[in-house]
Amino acid sequence: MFNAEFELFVSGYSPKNRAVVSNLEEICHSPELEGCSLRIINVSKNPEMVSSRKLLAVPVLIMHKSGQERRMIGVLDDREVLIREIDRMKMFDL
Amino acid sequence: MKNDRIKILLIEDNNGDAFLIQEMLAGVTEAIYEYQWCRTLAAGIDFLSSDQPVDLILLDLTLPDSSGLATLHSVKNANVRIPVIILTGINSEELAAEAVSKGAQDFLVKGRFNSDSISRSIRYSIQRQKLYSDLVDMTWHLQMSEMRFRDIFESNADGIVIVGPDEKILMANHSALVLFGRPAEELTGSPFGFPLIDDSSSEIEILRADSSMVFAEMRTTKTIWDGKTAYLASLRDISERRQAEMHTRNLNAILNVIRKLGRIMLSDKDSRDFLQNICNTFVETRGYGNAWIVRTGQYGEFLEVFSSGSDTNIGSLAADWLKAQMPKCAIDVLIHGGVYYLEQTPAECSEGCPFNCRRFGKGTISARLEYAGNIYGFLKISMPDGFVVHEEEKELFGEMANSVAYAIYSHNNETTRLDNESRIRQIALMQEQQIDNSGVWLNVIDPKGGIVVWNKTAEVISGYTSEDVVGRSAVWDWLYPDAAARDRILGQIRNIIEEGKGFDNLETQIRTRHGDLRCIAWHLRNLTDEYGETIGAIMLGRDVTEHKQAEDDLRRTTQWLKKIKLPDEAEKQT
Repeated sequence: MFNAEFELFVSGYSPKNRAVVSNLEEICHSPELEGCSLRIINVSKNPEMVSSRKLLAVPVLIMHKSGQERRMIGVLDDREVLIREIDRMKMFDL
Repeated sequence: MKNDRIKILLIEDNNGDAFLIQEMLAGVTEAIYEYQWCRTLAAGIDFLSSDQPVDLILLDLTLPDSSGLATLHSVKNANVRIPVIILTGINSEELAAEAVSKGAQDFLVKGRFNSDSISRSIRYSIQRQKLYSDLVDMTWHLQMSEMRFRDIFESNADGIVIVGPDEKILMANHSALVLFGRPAEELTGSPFGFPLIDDSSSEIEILRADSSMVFAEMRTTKTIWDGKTAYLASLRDISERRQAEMHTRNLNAILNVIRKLGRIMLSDKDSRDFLQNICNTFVETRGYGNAWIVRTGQYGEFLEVFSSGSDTNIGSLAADWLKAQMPKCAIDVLIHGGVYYLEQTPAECSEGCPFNCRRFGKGTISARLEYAGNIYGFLKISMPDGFVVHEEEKELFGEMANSVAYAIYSHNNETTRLDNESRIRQIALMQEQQIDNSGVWLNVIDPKGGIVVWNKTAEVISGYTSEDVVGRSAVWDWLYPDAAARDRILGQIRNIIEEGKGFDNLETQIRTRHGDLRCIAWHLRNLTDEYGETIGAIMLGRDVTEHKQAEDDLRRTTQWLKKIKLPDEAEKQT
């Protein structure tokens, strides 16, 4: 089982961001990622998170595992690319 | 280098030394030496300036026109790329080291070298100089290449960040600093994130230091930085493009709303359906969070409310209105009119308000429904988070409110018109019934004597039906077969139409369809239009046949009685 916590930071729920959220929800509910949690944070509603988490751009996905974090930015709406990256992280144990 | 031709420039003022060197090199078999011998520094430099090929310079430091390392310096100035071997009579390690550090390839003391050593020194010097020149060339190319990269990196209009394997920014160009709104020292070392790449670009929103956002298109490529894998992310500001796209999309949605409103206005005859459908269209077509239409009377009294959207709990609105606790935004828009745009919910708005913007999203737009001086209420919409409203939309919203008000006005007018028509029809029916049941003959005649109206009593008395006589004038021949009598009545009718005279109790005798004679007492009046122009005559006839007979009977009886002498009168006469 791959235990990790995902945090997705977005700004509002534009069609593009909705596609990212839906992609992430689908991936996190897949059997391979059983045991993972996903939290979605809208920085428009939580502007204080931008400085506290040192965010430079959104949407950004932060994966927490074993006290470490990895950030991913870019084509978060592409299921294949995202799964490939998460698999890579699993392989190297983050 | 075997059998190579080596071109040597020998700068030596001493003839003996010059011959000795040539003699030494003559016995060397590995190469063939060609000489150019110059006795002074100036002659040597002149030769170097002539661009003739020289592979090596043998230089005596003490010449008639120059001495010491200054001689070497002058020669190197003339051509830095040709290897120089110093020939001197001074055996000084210190001078030798300094000469080599100033660019000489070797330092030979006269009388202490032989054919082999000078020949080897020449070959090695040429090879070392070549290596050195290549190194200088490579360094120069590397420096140029780095300068070009720096130039491209720094002067690029796109923001470029180099992201290290730890997802932190290693370097950012000037455009990137502008894009992020942060200084280099803040940006360098900050976590950007591992750029996920595919063949295409991706869109991100850059969170600037001043809390504003910039839409950027990101293209990423793998690179090597300081010997390690890194990522070069190129960021192009597409805010204007995104805004223009959004603007166009919004305007298209609004135009669709306007088109649909037009269709609804034409198709929905029921005003309640019409207002509900307008609310639905605003939400479904433009994507507003909620839409409300509050109908009020002319003085702001609450009539009803229509709504559509995610949360339409407006239960307390009517009750609040009755208690004069209307929402402030409703009062403002009803009193002042125009379009009210609230970007955010004002602080004074209560959480329980049916129009609570916080509950629905960002803010609201309201507009009074007003047309031709009549106020019909107001139209209000809420905007979800992230919803952008441009100036044109506000203006178009005002125009849409005007269209809705006009439609309500037209609906009301149509309803009033239909009510009035219905009432008029009822009155006309009642009047017809009254006329028909009145026992009075009524007919209306046009200026040519044609019958326009022929009521029930006329049918009963004359025996001719309405179908027999309306639109024709033949009835006069039937009713008055006697030409003199007919002319008399038609003459009177003409007088009425032409001169506006009226007659009362004009008695004429008609012949009915059944052949019997009836006596009719006519009241004749002219018929005028709304401008007072005579357009015909109206005839009201009363059947006085029985009355006339009774009168005749009474007259006859009276005359008969007069002829009879009563006894008292006979006695008096006698």
